[in-house]
Amino acid sequence: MKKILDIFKEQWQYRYLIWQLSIYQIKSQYANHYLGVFWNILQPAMQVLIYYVVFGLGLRGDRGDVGDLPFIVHLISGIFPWLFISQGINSASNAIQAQLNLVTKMKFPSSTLLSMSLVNGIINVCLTTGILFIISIFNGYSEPLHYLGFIYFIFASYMLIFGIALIMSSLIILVRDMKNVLQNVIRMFFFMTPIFWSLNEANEILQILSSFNPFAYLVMNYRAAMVLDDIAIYGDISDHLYFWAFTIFVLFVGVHIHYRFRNKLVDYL
Amino acid sequence: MGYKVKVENVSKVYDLNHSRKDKLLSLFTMGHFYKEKPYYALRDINFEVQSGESIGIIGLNGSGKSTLSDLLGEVTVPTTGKIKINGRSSLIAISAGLNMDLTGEENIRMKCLMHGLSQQQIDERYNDIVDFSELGEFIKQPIKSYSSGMKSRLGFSIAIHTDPDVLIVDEALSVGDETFSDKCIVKMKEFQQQGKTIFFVSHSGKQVLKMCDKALWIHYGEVRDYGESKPIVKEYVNFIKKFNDMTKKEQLDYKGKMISQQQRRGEETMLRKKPRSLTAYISPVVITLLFLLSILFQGNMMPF
Repeated sequence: MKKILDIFKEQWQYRYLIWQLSIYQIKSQYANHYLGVFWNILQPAMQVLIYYVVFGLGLRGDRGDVGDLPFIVHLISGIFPWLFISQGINSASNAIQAQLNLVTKMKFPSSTLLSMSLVNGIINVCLTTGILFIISIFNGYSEPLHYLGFIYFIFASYMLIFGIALIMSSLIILVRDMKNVLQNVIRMFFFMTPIFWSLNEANEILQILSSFNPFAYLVMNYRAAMVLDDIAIYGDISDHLYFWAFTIFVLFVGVHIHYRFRNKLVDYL
Repeated sequence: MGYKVKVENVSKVYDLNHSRKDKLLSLFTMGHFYKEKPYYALRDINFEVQSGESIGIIGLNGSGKSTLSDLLGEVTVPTTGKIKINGRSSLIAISAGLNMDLTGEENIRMKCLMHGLSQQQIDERYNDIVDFSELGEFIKQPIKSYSSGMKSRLGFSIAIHTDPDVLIVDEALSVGDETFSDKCIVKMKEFQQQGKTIFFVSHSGKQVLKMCDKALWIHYGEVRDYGESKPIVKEYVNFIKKFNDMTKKEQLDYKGKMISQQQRRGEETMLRKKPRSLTAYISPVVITLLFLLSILFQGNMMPF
């Protein structure tokens, strides 16, 4: 348990470094682009468009709204948090491997590399949420205080992504195939999570599966905060308990692997 | 106090089990159910360095020089023993952490941040770094357009301006032309006068004599000699001469003999693994139980 606290203390201690370096990382990422940071909005927008055509116009046909929400709003309130989660897991899991020559040659707290790659994602999700926020305010989908649930969403997702990335970032260095495995598993979860379909209309089996899917908990929390007016935070006691027990378990395993790995990184290569 | 760097009973063991399965097993079970196939790279190293001294680390290839410099730069940790460093140590790693898409200027700022400098310190030193690197106009260009010499000049001048208390130079002087390496040597002499400690890893006796007042001779994982540089370097040069005069077969035999001796002695000195105390198992068990309980709870499968 102490190690979990240690690793977050480390993130806090190096917060200035994390912020500065992630800005350089974003700069280098868009170094030769004409549209630059604008891609951060353009890319999710294109995805929403495709999914709307396929799932909204194609699959759903004229069934139209989900509850009180137009399908397009339901869709973006699922895709925006999902992009944050999936890109976060992918980039944070590759963070150490991408900077291998730095970590093996310099004394550098490698766990901060994970946070660094998440900063970019958090900036993105804030941008996209801004758009949804305007739509939601304009149509009065959610109560004003409920928007604070967004902060809970960011916090809970950060914890879960960080835990998964702690495990995966070490595994990917040992076995490069894990990178592909991870990508495919994440793609599978895109369909298993109530993003373009609705939890209330779904088959009972799918509902039970979703209750064990921590990403469903996160996405539904984002929805509850941004577009649903009846609740601020999604889920009952057992949902919260399950999510946090799962997250702490993942963090615990991840932290132990990370600490064991980082002191001997050179030996493992 | 008094010492700048103190190395006590340091040993380093590498694991030669290179199969992926074994590595994964070792990682996931935290070292349970897993037999290492050890290679004793360093055994029972002891020495102390005062501030203002510069130490040349000499030895044959594969004798453990780079392992020792990694340990001193705190990039890896010793298997047993302790390294106490009074201040911040920095291993000069020229190309580590440079980003090809960013300009020289941005790279300077970024790498200084990684070395733990504040924004203000970076502003103060920025001009010195640019001047030292002799890059001139190129500093505004992305460094993927640099030649390899320019890159290493940039890397070296950043490293030397980050103001470490202990500097470890591992074969870094081969960069650039003669004038640049002379400039580096002048800079390092300046460091010595400021009371900083420099480790200089090399297998050339001449460079060590030019740079260092003390020498540490590492011979197959052990300290063969440590003290004033002149006599040690002389002895080392004699040894090299003798070694080179041997026939190929004699050289190989000698190496084989020394390495097996190194491994045998390493095994003798390594302590047996400490048994783990039971309290270490409490938190994993509690967390796993909590997790399992929450699954039952979530699935409405609680017995009560």
